[in-house]
Amino acid sequence: MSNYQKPSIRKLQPGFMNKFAGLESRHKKIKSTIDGVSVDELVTNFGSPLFVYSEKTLRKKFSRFKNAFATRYPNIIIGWSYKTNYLKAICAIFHQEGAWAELVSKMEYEKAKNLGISGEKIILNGPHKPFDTLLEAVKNGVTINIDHFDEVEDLEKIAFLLNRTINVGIRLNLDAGISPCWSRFGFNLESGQAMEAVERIVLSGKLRLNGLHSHIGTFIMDEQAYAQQVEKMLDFGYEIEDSFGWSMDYIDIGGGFASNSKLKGIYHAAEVVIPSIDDYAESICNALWKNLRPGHQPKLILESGRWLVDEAGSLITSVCGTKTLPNGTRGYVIDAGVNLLFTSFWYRFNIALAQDVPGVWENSLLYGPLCMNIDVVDEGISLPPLSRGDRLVISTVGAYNNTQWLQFIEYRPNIVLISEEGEVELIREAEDITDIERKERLPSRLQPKIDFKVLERS
Amino acid sequence: MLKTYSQLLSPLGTKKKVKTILPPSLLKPLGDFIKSLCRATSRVLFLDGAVPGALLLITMLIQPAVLFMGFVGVLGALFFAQIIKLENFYWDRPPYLFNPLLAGLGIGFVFKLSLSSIFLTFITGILTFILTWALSNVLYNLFYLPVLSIPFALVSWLIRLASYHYFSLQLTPYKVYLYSIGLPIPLEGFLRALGSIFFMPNIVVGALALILLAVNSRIHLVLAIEGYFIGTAFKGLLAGNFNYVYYDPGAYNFILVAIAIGGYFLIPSVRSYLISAIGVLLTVIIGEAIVVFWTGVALPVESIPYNLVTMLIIYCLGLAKNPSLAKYPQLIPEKTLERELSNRLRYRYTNSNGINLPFTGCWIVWQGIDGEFTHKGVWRYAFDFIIEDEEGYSFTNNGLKLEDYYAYNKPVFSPVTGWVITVVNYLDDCPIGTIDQENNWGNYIVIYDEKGFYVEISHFLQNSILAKQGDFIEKGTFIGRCGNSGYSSQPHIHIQLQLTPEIGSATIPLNFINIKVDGKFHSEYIPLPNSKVEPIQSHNSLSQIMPFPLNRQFNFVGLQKGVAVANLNFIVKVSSYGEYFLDSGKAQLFFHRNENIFMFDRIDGKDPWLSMLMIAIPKLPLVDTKTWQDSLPLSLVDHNITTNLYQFLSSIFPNFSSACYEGQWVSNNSISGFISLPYFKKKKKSSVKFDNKGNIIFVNFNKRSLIAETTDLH
Repeated sequence: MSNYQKPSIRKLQPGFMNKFAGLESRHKKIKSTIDGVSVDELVTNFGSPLFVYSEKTLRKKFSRFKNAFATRYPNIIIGWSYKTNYLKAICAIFHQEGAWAELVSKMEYEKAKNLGISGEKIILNGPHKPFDTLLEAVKNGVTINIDHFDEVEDLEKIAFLLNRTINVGIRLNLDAGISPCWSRFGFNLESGQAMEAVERIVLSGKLRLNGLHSHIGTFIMDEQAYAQQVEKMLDFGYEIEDSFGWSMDYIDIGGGFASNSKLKGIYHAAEVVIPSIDDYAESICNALWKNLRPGHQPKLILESGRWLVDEAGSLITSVCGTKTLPNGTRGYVIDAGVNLLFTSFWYRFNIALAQDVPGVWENSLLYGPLCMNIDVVDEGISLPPLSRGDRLVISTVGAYNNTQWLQFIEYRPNIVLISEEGEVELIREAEDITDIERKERLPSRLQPKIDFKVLERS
Repeated sequence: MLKTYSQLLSPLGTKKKVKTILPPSLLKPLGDFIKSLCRATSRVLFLDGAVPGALLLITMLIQPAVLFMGFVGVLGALFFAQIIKLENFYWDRPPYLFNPLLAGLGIGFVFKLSLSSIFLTFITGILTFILTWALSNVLYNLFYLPVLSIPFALVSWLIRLASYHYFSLQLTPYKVYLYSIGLPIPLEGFLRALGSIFFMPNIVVGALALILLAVNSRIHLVLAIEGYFIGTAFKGLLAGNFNYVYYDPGAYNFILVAIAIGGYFLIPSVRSYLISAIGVLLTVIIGEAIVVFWTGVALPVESIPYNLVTMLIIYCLGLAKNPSLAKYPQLIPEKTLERELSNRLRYRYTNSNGINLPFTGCWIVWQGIDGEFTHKGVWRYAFDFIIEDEEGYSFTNNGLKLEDYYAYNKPVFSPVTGWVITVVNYLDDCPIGTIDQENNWGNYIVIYDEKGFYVEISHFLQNSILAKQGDFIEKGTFIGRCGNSGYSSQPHIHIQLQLTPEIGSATIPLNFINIKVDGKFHSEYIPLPNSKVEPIQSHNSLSQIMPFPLNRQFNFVGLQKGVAVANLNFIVKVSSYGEYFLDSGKAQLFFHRNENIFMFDRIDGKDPWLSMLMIAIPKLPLVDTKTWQDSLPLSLVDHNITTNLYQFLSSIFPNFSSACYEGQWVSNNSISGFISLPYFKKKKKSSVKFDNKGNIIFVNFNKRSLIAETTDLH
């Protein structure tokens, strides 16, 4: 016997044609399996919410990415951007496929080390490289891209300590014709700061410049920006070569390739506005072939995170409460909110039902479990009337969510990997109270004086 | 294939100094000559080295008169060579010595020792020597055949015929029956036959020969037994009577045919055993025919059946270019096997030209050699490449536009360094569904590689070819983009090699170097259709590794179980054939290198330290690959019962011939090799370390280590 619900009147709105392509379909989206494994089975075994990664998709995306560049330029290195998702299993899969580790912090450096990645296959970037990490990186032959002048000094100190010259790259920031221009990282090219840095490095005699790095932004939807970036970097490189006689061993163009996800505020479907990886590769490699001097084929380092992993991750979530808002809109409380979906601030996720639910589809709201007004997963999704326990599958959540997720009032859930053979493996266990309190220290004077035995008896 | 026969006759073996109080100017040549004679004697039975020959000669003292006549024959040869001031080259050519020896033994066997018989033998020696000289050259130059013991057999007949009028010579009675010692008759017959090879139908000589055969090679031993008993059985069967076959004085022919064909000229295998058995059957018939024919003049068969059959068979196999013929026959067939089989694995594509793949990244072989669509007839040696995604499609969307195809517009790189001969660049790309049948080759480029061939690449995108006629381009240069011009149903790269520059010329065999096929690295390979192929880039820092400049000396300390046991120095030398080798004094380790690979090719002589070097690093691809494979001759890796058994079995199961080597870079400057015997899971590990200049500073395998002595201390 279901509870009585006050009826509300709605305008009947059939689908209509318009001039824009890719109008979001009002068709039922149902996704009852992930890589052939049923959502019900996954939830029964691992609970809800649950992050699910597809190994097949991870490997497929990597090989697509690699092929797009490798068939256009003979000397490429793909650096897997740890910050996007540093789950061990995910990193290990990419390393198996031949990716290097692209790291930006001490913690990430230690993660890569734990995975047994040798220094020759590590790129160390980022604005904060603690001295001891830097020292270890140098000893292990890591490719290091300098972000600021203080790092130059650190590296000179290390060169002095180790009594040898050190190969280094520098990070440039430059205007590639897009906005925002990430000018806070590295040395600015247009202002002459980058050339100053080069002069400083050359003069020191302790460091040997052998590469250039630049990362123009994230989720870049104009592939031509990369062509500009490459052209500017190579021009600068050859300018240095002509002045100081260095050799550019590598050019690291960073990442920022947009994944097949829909950003908020963009009306078109992702496939329409997002360049394909072949478009990016064509633009970048053509710029290389156009600007490289004959016979010179430096390593092209690509740092990719989002493009490789985003589509491989899904989140299964369940409805834990239903309500009708004062304006008549249906609202649902689900067990996964912005605590698990950091990217919901930018993404309009692809949300599908895990089962067919009869009834009229109407505009609804999805809230997360947090006691916060901002915890909204989708504020305009067409759904049939759901009940408690109904499941939803949120797609394209592989990037950044498992690194930027919050531990705020909730435990972080299980993460599973579906292998290429369809086996489901737990790759991160759900947290419990011990994880939360493990590092806490309660001063003895604050120990509560409770008689636990009495408590149990009552 | 038999080209090396004469090379074989000039051993590179070292000559030990003879300790004596007499002036070496007299004794040294004598010693050398005796050694050569012993080696020649060994060769009659296809034995290796001087020791077996010496033992045989000593045993022949049982019949001193016969042996004496043998020496007289050799003396005759020597005398003649001195008169005409012939250089000593023939000392290293066994037939020049063993033919006179056999001729002399033959006379000693027939005639009693007397002044006239000695004189006759002396002259016979001269005749045999001259005949050997003449015949060996004629046979080699005209028919590519060895002379074997034909001169001896012919001269032996000549002398017998001539001796009808020489009444001063007295015949020795034929004393076969005197030598029985009560063993089973067939066994005695077998041993006697072995002895008869040296005109000593004597069980003791035969037994020694059998032991020497067994020590030298188990394959030879089996072949000798097989040959004798098949021959006698066949003969008995035809004659309907076995009483006589074991006393047949010509039965040694069966043994020699079996050994020569089954274990020397052919690579030992089931097929060589079969062919040698057929050879034995032919020998039976030819031998019998000769006996009947010559009965009137009472001539023996001598070794004529063996010579005839062996030459006939290897001549015909040579005409057929039969791969069973050994390229480098060795006196120990196990060695032939090992060398031939491991060379087959190590140098797979010696008769085709290797080029780089003309693209970058992972492509698919759409059509290979003898392809099902167009690579037929004189155009059979060609490859077509496309790109496919993980679902096996070569296009995205619906594949109706050229742009949908992954291969379309992809860069094409020069697979060779050479001169641009022709460029056609103006043809339209055919839209999907149409084909240009008039200009089959579409937009194409022809490049001449100075190794002596032309590379033709087809179906370029219109106006995309950047190279111009007359340009000299380096390997790996961006030359254009893949398109769909010409006879092409989808964008692809077509590549072929030809000997003439004209478009449409006949194609010649090709293989690709530094290629990853379905994920596995190969230094050279001919990929099959539908395999995934990817070029592996050369590795700049490896180009300087293991610098072995001529005359450079490397000093090492040899350690056994951690204890220094030897000071070693290896010097880089070059042979008269232009092959480079490391010389340790005891052995020569041959190597070659080019821009793609460093390889130790083989080791001549015996030196465990040099062997260890080859085991630790038989080859090193100078490209960007972390792992690679190679094969090692089994005896190089180990000497024990297992390897002996494996060597023997490898004639039947070729897989047993080689140990598998898996090399791996474990750090920037060190390599680990994992060596395993076929069908053995256990792997032995070798390791090599280099200094920052690429010199070897440490080698380790099996309790032995080499440590470089720093030579530039001062």
